[in-house]
Amino acid sequence: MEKISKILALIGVLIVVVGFVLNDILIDFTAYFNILMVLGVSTFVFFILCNFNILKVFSKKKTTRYGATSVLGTLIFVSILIVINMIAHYRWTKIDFTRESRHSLPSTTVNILENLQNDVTITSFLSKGTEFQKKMSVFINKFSEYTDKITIVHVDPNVDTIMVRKYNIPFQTIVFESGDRSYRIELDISTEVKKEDTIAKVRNIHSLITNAVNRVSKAKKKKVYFLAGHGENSLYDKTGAGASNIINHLTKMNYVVDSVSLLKGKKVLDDCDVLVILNPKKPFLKEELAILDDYIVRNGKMAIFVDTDTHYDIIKFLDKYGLHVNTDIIIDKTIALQKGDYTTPLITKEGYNQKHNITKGFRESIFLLGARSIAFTKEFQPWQKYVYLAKTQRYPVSWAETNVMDLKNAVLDQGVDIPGPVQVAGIFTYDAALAKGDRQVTPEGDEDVSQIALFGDSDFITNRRFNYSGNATLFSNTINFLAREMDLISVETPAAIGSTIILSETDKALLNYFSIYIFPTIVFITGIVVWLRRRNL
Amino acid sequence: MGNVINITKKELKSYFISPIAYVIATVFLIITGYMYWKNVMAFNAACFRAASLPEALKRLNVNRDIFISNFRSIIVTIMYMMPIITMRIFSEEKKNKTMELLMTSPVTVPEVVFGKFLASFILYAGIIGTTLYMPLFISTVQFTMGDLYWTPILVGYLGVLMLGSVFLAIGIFASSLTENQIVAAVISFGFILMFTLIDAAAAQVQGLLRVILSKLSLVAHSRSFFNGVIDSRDVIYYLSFMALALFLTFRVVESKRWTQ
Repeated sequence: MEKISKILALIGVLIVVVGFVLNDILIDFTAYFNILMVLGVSTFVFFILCNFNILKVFSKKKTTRYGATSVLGTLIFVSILIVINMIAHYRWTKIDFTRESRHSLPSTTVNILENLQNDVTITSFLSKGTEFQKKMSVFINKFSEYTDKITIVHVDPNVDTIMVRKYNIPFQTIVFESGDRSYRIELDISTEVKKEDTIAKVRNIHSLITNAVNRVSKAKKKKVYFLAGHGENSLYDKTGAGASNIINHLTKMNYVVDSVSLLKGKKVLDDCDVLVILNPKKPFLKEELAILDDYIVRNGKMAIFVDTDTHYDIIKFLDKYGLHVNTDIIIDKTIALQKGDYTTPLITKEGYNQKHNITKGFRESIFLLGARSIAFTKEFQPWQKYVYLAKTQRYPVSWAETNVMDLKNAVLDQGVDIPGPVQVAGIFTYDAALAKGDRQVTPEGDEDVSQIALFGDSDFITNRRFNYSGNATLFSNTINFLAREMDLISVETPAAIGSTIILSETDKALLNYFSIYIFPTIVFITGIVVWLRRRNL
Repeated sequence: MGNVINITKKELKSYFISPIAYVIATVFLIITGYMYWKNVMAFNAACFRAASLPEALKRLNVNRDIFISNFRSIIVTIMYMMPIITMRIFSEEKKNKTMELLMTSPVTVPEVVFGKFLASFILYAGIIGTTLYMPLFISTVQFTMGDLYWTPILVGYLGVLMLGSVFLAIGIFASSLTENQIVAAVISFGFILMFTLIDAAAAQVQGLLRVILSKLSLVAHSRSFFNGVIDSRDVIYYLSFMALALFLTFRVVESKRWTQ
């Protein structure tokens, strides 16, 4: 009986193995698989019943008991290690020791990710196998490392055509979804690029992804209104002199952008988060200026861009608050336009106020055109605060020229013209409640105060110049600051720092001989000597 | 601890009185030295080509373009080296019938295992230490832009040491399984290769299995170190793997006490 049970047990093992193999190969084999499993298990049970005494003796053996204890101990140890690694997977920390922290997301991005309120799904549709796709996938995955609110899905559009049809999108697109909101980025990677260019390209996409995540995760969209009706640069004008690029730029950052006429009544600015006034060239009605005053009293936020042809009404309006736009034009000897004058001031990184959130860490240059200098002229009151944002370069490179009739031969007139650096942008804070005596001190933060960002130029954000160097970034940083969207400010990745060498012929020869021949030979001879001496002892 | 140090000393002596350590170090230095020389020459040529293109120059980086490749070369070389260092650790004791002597001496099995591991680690660290001439040489040459940044390189070396320690622990475990040194080396190499190529296998499957397999890859966990980043997950994974391999060795060695 015992012999039969042993043969049956072996057959049982065979049945179980065959069952698993067939179940893997054949379709609709589940029913037969279950039967084979029952048969296999039955033979084991039969074997145990027939050999119960042998098993009893075996279980009492010293080796069995020690073996079982050993296996159990090992399982417990492995379990502990698995638990430790699982905890480590969710509670991890990372220290980037590279000089420019090139393998970490910037703190601004981490801040956005850690404060995400809603779940966001990022679905990438990138053709697999390319260098770009590999780097991009690693890069996107980093976004889920800082929060459990982000889910990443990588789709190969060449394979998963169902997903492509579902989303109805072109290849090389990243889709961001949160609740009923969605946003997509189409990547321009039509031509295959070199490895190092790929890395740079991926890093450049970083701010797009950050903004997209921020955009879809936020339920409320902030409203940015552009004043119309006074000959302002039009949002809908697609020519070089227009400002239509701004709409795309701000819409991508999750803002609602619209134009507004103050003639529609007092309540027209009730839901406005930021009012932008782009070089108004025609007069204002008294009622319109009253609405603007009222907006400021109600802690409104404004960005005003003036130019050489801006109407005096708005200049006078600003003067009332101490913000003075000088009647001059800024000369900068760095760049001469075709006209031969020097009216294109270049603002370099040294010219930015590094203490203000709008311009802190800002490195890109901006180009202005026919800009006017600005200043705060009144005596400061406790409810007023003014700081500059950008200045031109120092005299003799730059100054504010009052004789605008002969710019080709412009020279600084001491006592009349203002020597550089001259201010071209500043931000004014006005606490209306404090001015009226409704409170004693200005509260922390900028929510309950009015702010006016003033720029002495409007050309730098026209379509023709909007995408030059840092022009668009300075504009969006200003809007983000005024709209209290601080986490959107300047989410640039640090630039890669290069390091290159030049080897002399001596260096090359030394390196070749030392690393391949001399050093290994020294080690080998030392070994032989030690070995021979030890052997002779 | 005294016993661990004594065992370590004894093991180190046995490494250095035989030619094994020197032969391994020599072969290792020739291979890594050649790869290093090639990397430096290629980088130098790239610097020359990009000399007139400021934007291209900015993308060249000594730390990344020479040393990450160098760490990879070192890893490939030690994959073959480690089984040779560790193959004799327990196999030789068994073959020479000195295992019984060791087991009856007043030392515990964990002390024996850890002492032998420590000795092989010191030998390994010494061999890796000889490659420090590579960044030292680069720091002496003329830089046309930037300079050598040491911290990521030292982090890379930490990664090489941690990954190598895991290879050593695997090798010691393999050595405890058999008295034949060649068999021990083959088993050790098989394990190392399996856990190195496991992420390639992960790419062939889907779902949870893919995630688990990709997390098990030994080499994948070294990438952060080579990039100059210390990630707590990688450190814990390496320490866990090392602990597991040494624990299994301890179990195998201890089992001799009650199986004979």
